[in-house]
Amino acid sequence: MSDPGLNRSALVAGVFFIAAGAVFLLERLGVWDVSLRVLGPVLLITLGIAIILGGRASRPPP
Amino acid sequence: MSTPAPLPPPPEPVTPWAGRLVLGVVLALFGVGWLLESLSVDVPWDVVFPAVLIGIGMMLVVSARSGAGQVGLILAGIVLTVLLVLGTAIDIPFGGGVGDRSVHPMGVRVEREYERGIGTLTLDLTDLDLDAIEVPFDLRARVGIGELVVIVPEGAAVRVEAHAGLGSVRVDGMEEAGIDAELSVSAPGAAPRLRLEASVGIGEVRIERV
Repeated sequence: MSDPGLNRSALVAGVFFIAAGAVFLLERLGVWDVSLRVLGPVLLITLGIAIILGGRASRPPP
Repeated sequence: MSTPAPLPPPPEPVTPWAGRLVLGVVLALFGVGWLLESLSVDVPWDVVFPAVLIGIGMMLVVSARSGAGQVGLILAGIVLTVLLVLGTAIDIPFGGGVGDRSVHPMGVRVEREYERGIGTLTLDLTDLDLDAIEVPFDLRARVGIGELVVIVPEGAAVRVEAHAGLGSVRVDGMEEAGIDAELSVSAPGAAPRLRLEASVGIGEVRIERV
């Protein structure tokens, strides 16, 4: 059951930023060598999914 | 006479200050960092930017129910993500500081890495005692956006690997320009005593022999 008071867009964006921040932090600390050839598409895919999920959640029920 | 039905409880107050609070804290943190940089204190921007992004994400998750103040946070998060992606793509050392910097190591007192975020970095290696340092010595110089000039003694056994994410590299009269421009030059004959990796994200790398 969905929570009407919950802003799913903000939630999805928040989770996305936490994940992206963690990836960049690991990369900057030298723990994980991230290649843009992988990172760029993955970020775009994740962002697209986040936008789709946020849009579906904010659409009013029929 | 019937008593009126009790009024429904008022809705939970939204917290528009949450976004402003985070924005204010972020701006204040950047200000403090900038001030410390101005006072020659090395600020680890490489770690600060991702940490701020994580903080924004956590704030969004926590405030997902409040329904306000999130647009600014989402915009800030998007801008920061784009900056970090660009920084990864063109290898911008956020921690290198801003402005022009000249370094002239003498004898054997040399660091393994020199960097500048934005500006010009001039690295003069003419007084480096290549016969006394541990060989082969690996030295890395990086500039995010700007110019990197490395001066090496003529005839020294130095191998140079120069790279520009977007811009040009000039080594020993040779020049490459464009995206991912790179040149690799080894001194003929002797094995290299110094292996120099010079790179800029956007700008120019110039290796001069004097």
